[in-house]
Amino acid sequence: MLPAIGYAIREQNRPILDDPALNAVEITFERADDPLRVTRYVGDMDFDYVSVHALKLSVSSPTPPGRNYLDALKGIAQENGATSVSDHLGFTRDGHNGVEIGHFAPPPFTLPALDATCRNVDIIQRYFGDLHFYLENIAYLFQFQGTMTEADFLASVLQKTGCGWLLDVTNVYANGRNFGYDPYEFIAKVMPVPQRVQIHLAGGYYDEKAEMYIDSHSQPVPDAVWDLYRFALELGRGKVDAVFIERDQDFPDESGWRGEVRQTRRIAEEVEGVPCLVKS
Amino acid sequence: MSREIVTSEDYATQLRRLARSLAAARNDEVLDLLAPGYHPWQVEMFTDGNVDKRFEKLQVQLEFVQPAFDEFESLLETYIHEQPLAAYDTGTSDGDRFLAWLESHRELTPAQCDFVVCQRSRHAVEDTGRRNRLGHIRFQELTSLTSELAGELDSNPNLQIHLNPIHVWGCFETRVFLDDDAEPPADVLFYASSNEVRTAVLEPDGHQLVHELASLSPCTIDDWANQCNSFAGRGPRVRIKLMEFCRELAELGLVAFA
Repeated sequence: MLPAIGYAIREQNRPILDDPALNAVEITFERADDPLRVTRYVGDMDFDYVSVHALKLSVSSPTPPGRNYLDALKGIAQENGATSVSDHLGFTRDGHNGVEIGHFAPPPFTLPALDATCRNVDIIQRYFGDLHFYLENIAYLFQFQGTMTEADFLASVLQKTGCGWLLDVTNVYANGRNFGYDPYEFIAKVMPVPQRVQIHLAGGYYDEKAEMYIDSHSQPVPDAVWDLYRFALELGRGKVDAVFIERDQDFPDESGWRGEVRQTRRIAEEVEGVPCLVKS
Repeated sequence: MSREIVTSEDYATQLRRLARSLAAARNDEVLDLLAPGYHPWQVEMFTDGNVDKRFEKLQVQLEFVQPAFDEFESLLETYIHEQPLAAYDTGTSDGDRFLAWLESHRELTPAQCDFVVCQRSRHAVEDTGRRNRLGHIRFQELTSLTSELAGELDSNPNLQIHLNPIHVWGCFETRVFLDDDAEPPADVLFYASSNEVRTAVLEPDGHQLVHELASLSPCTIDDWANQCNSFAGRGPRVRIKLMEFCRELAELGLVAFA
């Protein structure tokens, strides 16, 4: 099964969304959440696969996601014909009427955090019904004290809830490079668990001062991430539903946009052993 | 890895502490919970990045009001330091909270007040649109028929007049945003037009008429004329005046027909 392939929609890549290599798009909820918008965020085009990507479900918070936020997510999904919703494994807030951190932080990898996360994912999945929910592994700058590894924690959430895994290959690469673990082992450990998988690809930069790889979505996908992507496709053969490339800064020109999505498709076609649809 | 297992109640307490400390960039308060091998500068890098992102977002959101304030950036910094981001911040909610904070923490000049009223009214229109998205979409669809149906206002007794449901009222106290022919204080209508927010300054009579229409909408021109208290008398003259006013509102995108 060849995954659907496309971009997270940005105004800068809208002109190439008709590329023959592309048959999927991801909608970043916070970008589409314009209350006065009168047209579909995806525009007039039809795609084989549309997913809504959220930032504030805060699945590891002690309280479940707020109903208004869930309703807004579902509204965007319905307006745009999406079949899935995703968010990150982490927390961005404390409680409903509390504070927002501004970016997701990893939960302490403990059993109480696992319970809270699974309960919230269950609630999210019950709410969304036929819309499949995927949970993304995040890139982090630090971890809190815990009793299990990130891979064990993530695998447990996927196992207990049955939700899909949004494998952000670049996040695995960044964490592995920054904190000295093998990204291949991480993917190999988690991939057998979920029934459904989506994949994120992006490129960042190495911060010399911090001595860390920063997942800034500002550069082309690096070769090491392409290799990991191929590895993930091989391990996840038959259950990877979609692959999305993310870019948020230092946008490429048209050939750059087209080149990356075509490379994404070409690798998937090679792994699946199907004839190439589009030349790179 | 630490062997300590916390209970669920402890987890809620722990998460609250972590979230509130990180949201306020009180980095020292989370250091005792960092896993071995991680460093305070990594927490600082995280919270600094979040503060920078919030600052940049507020600057973009509040670009319109910025010229009205000296040391605007300093005000933003103070606000960010004092007020953590609220959960479920939407596109403009942090900017609106900043303006509310400004109103309660600073003595604003009348002109600055008008800038704030203008920006906050725009936020209020968006918020109204968020709460009544279906009403917004339906009304904007109706506006595509306006030019065709406005001509039937006189001849079609069943033609329904719809007032744009996505509107809020404001008042300008100075001339900063007023044309020469308008005198402050002036009532201003902020309303959604397609995906934008537009403004209309109305005469007192116009203000009264829009309020009447808001209570009747949707209605026919005859319904409105029969209940209109804004003009002296009754009968054909009132109906003609209402039709003229209605066409003006339709041109502005405040009224549509069905």
